[in-house]
Amino acid sequence: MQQSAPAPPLLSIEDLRVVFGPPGREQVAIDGVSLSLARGEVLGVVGESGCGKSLTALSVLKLIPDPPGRIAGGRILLDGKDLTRAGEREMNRIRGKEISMIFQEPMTALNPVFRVGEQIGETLRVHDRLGRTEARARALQLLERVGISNPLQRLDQYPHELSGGMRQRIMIAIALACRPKILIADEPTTALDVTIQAQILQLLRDLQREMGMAVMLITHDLGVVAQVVDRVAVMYAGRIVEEGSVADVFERPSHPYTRLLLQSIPSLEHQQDRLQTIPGMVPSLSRLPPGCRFHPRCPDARPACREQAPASFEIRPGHVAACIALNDYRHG
Amino acid sequence: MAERAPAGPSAQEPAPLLRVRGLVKHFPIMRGVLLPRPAGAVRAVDGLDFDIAEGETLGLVGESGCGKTTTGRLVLRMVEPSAGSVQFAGEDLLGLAPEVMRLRRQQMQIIFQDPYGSLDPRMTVSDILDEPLRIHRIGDRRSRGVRVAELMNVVGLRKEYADRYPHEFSGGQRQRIGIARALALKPRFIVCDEPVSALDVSIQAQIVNLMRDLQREFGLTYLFIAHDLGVVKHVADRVAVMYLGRIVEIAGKQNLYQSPRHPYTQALLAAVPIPRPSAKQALAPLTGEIPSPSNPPAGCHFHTRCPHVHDRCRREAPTLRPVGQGHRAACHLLTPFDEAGADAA
Repeated sequence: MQQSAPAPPLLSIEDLRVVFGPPGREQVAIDGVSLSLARGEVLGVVGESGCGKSLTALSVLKLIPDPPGRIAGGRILLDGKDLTRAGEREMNRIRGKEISMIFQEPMTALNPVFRVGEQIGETLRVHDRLGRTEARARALQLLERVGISNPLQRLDQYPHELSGGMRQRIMIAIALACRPKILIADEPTTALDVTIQAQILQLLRDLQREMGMAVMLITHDLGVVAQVVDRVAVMYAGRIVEEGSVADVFERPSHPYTRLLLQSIPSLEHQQDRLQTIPGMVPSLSRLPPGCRFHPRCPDARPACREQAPASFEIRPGHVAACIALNDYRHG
Repeated sequence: MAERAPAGPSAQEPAPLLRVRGLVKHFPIMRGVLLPRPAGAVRAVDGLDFDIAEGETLGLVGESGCGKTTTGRLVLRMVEPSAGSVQFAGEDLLGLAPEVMRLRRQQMQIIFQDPYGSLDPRMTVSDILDEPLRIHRIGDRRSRGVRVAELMNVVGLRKEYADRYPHEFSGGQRQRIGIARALALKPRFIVCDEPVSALDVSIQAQIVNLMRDLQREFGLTYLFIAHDLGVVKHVADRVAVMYLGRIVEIAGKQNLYQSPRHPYTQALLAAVPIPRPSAKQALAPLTGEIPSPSNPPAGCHFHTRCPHVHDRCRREAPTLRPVGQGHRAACHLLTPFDEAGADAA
């Protein structure tokens, strides 16, 4: 764990609220999410489809399509500066320079009509004002660093000529070209085969250490989280239900959702006769249940769960969960 | 090795329900605009031998391009094999006329990965489930209606949903519709092609449990194709691992997961991230990319990535040989095992 002395976090998301739809008929996609990311830390954000994990990441870079979506409340502080108030020009300076992002599908993030070398060079020319030759030389170095074979030849290839794993390496090269302080990786290995996924995760971990960069890793894969991150936040239906060090959350999961989610993974390590399931399904944004959003699926739900959203309880230093039942243990 | 005997069928079992020998599918690559001519071939499936016993689940795993999906379609003759034989219940399917094959398909069904893509968006659930019955002229309108209700009940869909359209359902519910459709004709054998890959983990568990319950209830035989080794460990009795069109290892589940013999199987298992932070893994057990199936490496297809590669591996393709009881692998480096002579050293 990082020694969280008085040093303020590099990035801090405070009570973020993101809504979709026309005023008066908004649907709340992110409902009061607070997260912080320290310098050099790897934070995982996990949850199932529609829980708001990707939207949280997009909010940081102000990439939510507006309309229909918008940030309706909260602050996002980067080194103390509130990004929710930053203008487009300011954001363009920050994107790729201070905070970079990589996505699940590199083919859609790369421009199909430009050569790989030009795409890496563009970032460097825009942010670091490098000349064409310098940018190309630096692009070559980056390709080597991200483990691309025959880098000189690859500089002049187009994205469609490369495999999925190689495209993701190119995306990483582009993202890291200007040595950002923060890398947001949104399901970076979900589209890849497992042996290639392992290579990309290894690469990200090495680069993160080498550059001392902070990483926010968005994923649905609890195995990836367990192996890669320092701290993890579990999201459900637009809220964080549990957060803590990866060891605490995985070994002492305290929110019923986290516990059930971990148990429902078909594990390679042991053999269960039946998989644990979570009854029902994730609620849609238009029909969010009142109170604790998980209560309709929760085996331990009680009447009070329907009435109000549970507050966060600190179970142990740095380990919090939002469940009424935790209050009992504390007071009873 | 553990002392418990493999649960699946072994040594002296009756004839398998499905028997595949020398199965090959080469897709020609055409070149030329006016007079397209074949200029090479993608060797999607390159000589497979395997059996599946009645009531058994054979898991078929491998990474993209290994040929697992094509294998599932070849077995059902949705794609015509280039060579080899597929026997179902003792009958050679490849020699059957199309009309006869259509009849056999009542017994052989498929469940797809993407239930949304495989369900007609303009048909209601009851139309979707009724369609196979109508096509095969089974029963009258009333008895088909009863069957549709029964199918919905069996897969856990409420009967009020009968008149809804696929887009009104979640991914998990759509997969239940896909499963119900596959069951409509009371098949004996189902090819399950990545049936839970597109689902969230909590929903995936529901569908996996459902498929196992249905297997027990109806005595179904599954060819379960997946890239997720955890899911396969959970549903399969035996597992075959494919790499670039070939089976590199096939064994009972216990053997395959606890003592994998082929270097590729070992690497594949080692690459799966374990959801337990204290089990710190060396993340990347393999270097290099998966070669293209249109131009696979000579000799052993895996030799370009194998940590134990020898000269012989580059020249000569290894055959699938016994390496343990009910356990076969295709690797030059493994000592053959004499299956007749039971206990090995």
